[in-house]
Amino acid sequence: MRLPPREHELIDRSKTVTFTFEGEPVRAFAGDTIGSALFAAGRRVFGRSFKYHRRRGLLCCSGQCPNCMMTVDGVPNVRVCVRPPREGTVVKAQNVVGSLDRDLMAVTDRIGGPFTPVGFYYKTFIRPRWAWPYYEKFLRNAAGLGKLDPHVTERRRVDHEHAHAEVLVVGGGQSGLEAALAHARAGRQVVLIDEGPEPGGHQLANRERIMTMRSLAAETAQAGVEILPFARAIGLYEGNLVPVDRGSTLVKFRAETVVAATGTLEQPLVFAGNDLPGVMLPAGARRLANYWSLRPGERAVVLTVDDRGVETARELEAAGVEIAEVVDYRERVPRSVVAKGRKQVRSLTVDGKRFDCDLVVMSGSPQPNYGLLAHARARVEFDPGRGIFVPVELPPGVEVAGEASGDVGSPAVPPPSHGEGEGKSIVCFCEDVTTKDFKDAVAEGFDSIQLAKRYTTATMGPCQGRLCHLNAVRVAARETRTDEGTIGTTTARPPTSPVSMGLLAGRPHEAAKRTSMHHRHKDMGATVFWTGSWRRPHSYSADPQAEVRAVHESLGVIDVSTLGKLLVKGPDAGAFLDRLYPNRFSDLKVGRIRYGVLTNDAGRIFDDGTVARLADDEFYVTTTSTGADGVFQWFEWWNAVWHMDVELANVTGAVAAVNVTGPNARKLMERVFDGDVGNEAFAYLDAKRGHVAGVPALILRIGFVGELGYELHFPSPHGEHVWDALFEHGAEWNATPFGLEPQRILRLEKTHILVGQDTDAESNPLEAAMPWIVKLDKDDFIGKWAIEHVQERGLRSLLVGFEVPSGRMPVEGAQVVVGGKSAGRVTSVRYSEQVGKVIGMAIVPIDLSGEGTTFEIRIGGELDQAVVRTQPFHDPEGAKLRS
Amino acid sequence: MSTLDFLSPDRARADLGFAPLLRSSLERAQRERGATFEERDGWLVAASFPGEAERLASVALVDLSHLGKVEVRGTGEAEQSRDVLAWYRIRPDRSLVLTAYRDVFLTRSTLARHFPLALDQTAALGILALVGPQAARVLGRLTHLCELPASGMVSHVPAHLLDRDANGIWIVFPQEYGHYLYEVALDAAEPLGGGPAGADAIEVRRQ
Ligand code: FES
Repeated sequence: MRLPPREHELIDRSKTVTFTFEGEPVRAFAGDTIGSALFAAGRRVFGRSFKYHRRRGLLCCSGQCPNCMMTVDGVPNVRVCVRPPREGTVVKAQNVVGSLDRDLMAVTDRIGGPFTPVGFYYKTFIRPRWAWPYYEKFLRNAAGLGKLDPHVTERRRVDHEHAHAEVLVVGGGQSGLEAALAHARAGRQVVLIDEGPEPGGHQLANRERIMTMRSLAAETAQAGVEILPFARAIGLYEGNLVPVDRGSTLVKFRAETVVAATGTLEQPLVFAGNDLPGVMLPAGARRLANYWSLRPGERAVVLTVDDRGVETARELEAAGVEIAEVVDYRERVPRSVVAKGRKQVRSLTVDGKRFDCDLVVMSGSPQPNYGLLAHARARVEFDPGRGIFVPVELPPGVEVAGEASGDVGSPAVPPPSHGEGEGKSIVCFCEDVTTKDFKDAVAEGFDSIQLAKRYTTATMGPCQGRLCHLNAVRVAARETRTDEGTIGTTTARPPTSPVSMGLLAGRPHEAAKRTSMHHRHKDMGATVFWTGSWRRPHSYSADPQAEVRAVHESLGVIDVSTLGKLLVKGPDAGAFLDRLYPNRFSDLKVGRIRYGVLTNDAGRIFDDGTVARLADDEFYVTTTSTGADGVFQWFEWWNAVWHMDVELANVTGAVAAVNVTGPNARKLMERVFDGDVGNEAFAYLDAKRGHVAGVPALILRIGFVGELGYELHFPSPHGEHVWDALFEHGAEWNATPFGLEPQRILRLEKTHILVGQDTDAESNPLEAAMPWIVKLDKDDFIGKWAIEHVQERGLRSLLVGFEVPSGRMPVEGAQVVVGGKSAGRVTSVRYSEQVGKVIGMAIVPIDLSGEGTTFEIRIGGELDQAVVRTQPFHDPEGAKLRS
Repeated sequence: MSTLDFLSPDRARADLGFAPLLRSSLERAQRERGATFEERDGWLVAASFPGEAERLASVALVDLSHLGKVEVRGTGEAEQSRDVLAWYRIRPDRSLVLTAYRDVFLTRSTLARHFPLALDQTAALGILALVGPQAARVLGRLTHLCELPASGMVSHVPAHLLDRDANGIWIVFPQEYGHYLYEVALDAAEPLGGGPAGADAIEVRRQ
């Protein structure tokens, strides 16, 4: 089937690859596409149409039409005419029941006509309404594009890339190359993108011009223009953003100037049988002959409105095709054209004169490809003398070059269609919309192009109107007895051609924060999980209770570096904090620590933590792990509003933190700390500075987990050094790392709240059982007015501790039920070995909040009794903390 | 001892049997990729990687987290000592000053005399240099930011970007994202023939 080697062919006959089509091996040369190799192997039917399952063959050979879409390596809708094969590529037909040559669904073409008029979905399947889901399933299977294989395991790598150019030229044809060269010579940084493997555009399929184009391309590259092949612009957005599909990379170009050198879109002519295999656009026939040295047919008829068809006839003749007739519309516009054939075109009858042929080249109007310009809101007008739409007004920063500007000579204007009544005349190849469909749509009142488009779905398929928009407008103009200028265009929107969802989405990114001891936790067997954006140890074994025991009985160590840490510094620092928190900090002594909750204007709790006074004008504030950024922004906001003399710094990442806790914590501290850790010198809620394992540290004596504890804060890069030192020197007391799950059990035993877990958007300090933290005698603080209001109206609910005597475990969030109605919820619950009970915290109605009161919780659909405990379950006096 | 010494890793003391060692947040990821480490000024520095010479011809990723970083608050101008490698004004009243690690104490002390706040951020920030002809291309895969210096999101991480000419493009980021950012940057660089290189692959110069 191949012609003998030809000058300028794109194939390298010395190199071959083999792929499979429907299980059969197919050999291709290097430079072939899947489509050209299949054509060489004798295949003429490449697809089945969307609705009628009509045979479709190669039409454009340039990736513009829907005719050659196949499933390649599990990916549907690949245009095989432009996709090179790789060794072992698996190619399958799509949208067929049976095979491409024998598709059972083709019956719709023969008998379905009367039953499948335009809009038949809406008409035929409207009743009974309940059956629509079944209809839909059937219709989706019967019509449509290929199917995604959910079992495909291969994951394609995709990237997004941002790039910048002073000038971005879209299109590597002659005008694109010339524009790029001119801009480069004017000293601008220029990038040129082209869809094909090399610049040159449609002239690469012109044997007389190919060398000129290659030397122009070389000259352009030499001038410093960066030329990107296989690059398809999919839109032109505000700010001259041009996303470019490069297969596995979406390059988002920003350019000062975008030059659209996008050439023309060759339009089909509308006549009966215009979609038969063997009816081609000039580019399709020329590419077959000149790129891949394939004879597109034996005997051809050429219909043309300008010189392109005439030139194509010459090229085909040179490839050994017999030209039966060239019908030049500039001389005579035929009234009737009919193509006939079963598996492919066998004859063309023009105004009653029949030509036997197996190839018809239809060179309709050369429509400037203004899609990108239209995205940028360029104004487009119809030129009735040439029958095409041309861009007339461009936005700033956008230029147009060559044929895309309307520089296409003086083509004849073909009629909207060539006669009726001899089979289907296809207007929209993607959606199988015929001239009759348009006639019916207009008759039914869909007489504007926007309505007709939506009703018929013309221009809405994979070609996005490239091959049908102009013909649709022409047919609509004829049916409405107006003109194309009045009909106007449909709205062009990106993407200009299909782009995969995966490419748009890009690579998944999960920005994870890790503490400086993270890898030590993994080394020690921690199970790591997400808490906010942090990766943290859940526990270090399958038995978190063992870690709880270690803390109670000897010594536990936990990484709490995720705590938010802020510096508040300046003469007004104390007053600033007094305004932010319900409690008071201006009277806090240097070297002491106080707990605080933060409330918003509505008096609701949104974060908590400790505040240590480091100097008269310096405070160190800790926040919850997930609240650090929010609290910092809150502080900055109020600092800007109040204009106080305060500097703020978020040192969360700078400072690592470790809590050393348990009855033997002091013994370990004596070994690693260079100061006095005796209870007198270093009391509960003291903050001291010194060195831990040689590292500068701030040590807070606090106890979230209820045992004697020291929270060490030190520079993050020393994390592993300090962690290792603690375990090395704590080995004597069997120092045990503990994770978040044991920490949650321990803090629950103390009924220490977790903001966000035990509070919600409605929680205020009074009903969260923290009245002691609210200093209503202060002049003002954020939320004071709202908290006063709560006090005035009286408490309605209270956060309390509870135990479940039955030992059954409710879920967190379980309902507190009163009189059969939900009256509160369980906020936290765990089994505590130390207490020997299921314990938790719950928000209950105020009249059920007294010590020893029972209330009901829904557990697994049944109600169970819980008993209120208002004191901590473990060490209620806090003796251990203070020991 | 200053109240804020606990922010400054250079206040560590190798005595009482302890030998504090500083590690970058990229250390483990670099170790997994075959880095050779050396101890320098208390830091464990990835000095070299096998095969780094070829990567420099495309794009090399170099961890410079061991440089000193000081955040300065206030609008004043201080005479720039020759120890300062870079002075990046984040906004009119906030700057980031980079120095060699051994100079950070002196730089911080000097700056503290001229500005309301001079905060040691050495521990807070990591620095990843993209060095080589493909550096801008890798950056383009990580962020839309292009006119440097700039501050903004780099692969969902808030960062500062500095153009250091022959020393490449420096991404200054919160250290807690170091492991993640390094993996993402490598992932973007490797298809272009890039990859990790050690600190000795470049000579960090004042600019
Ligand atoms: S023949 Fe392949 S897209 Fe037209």
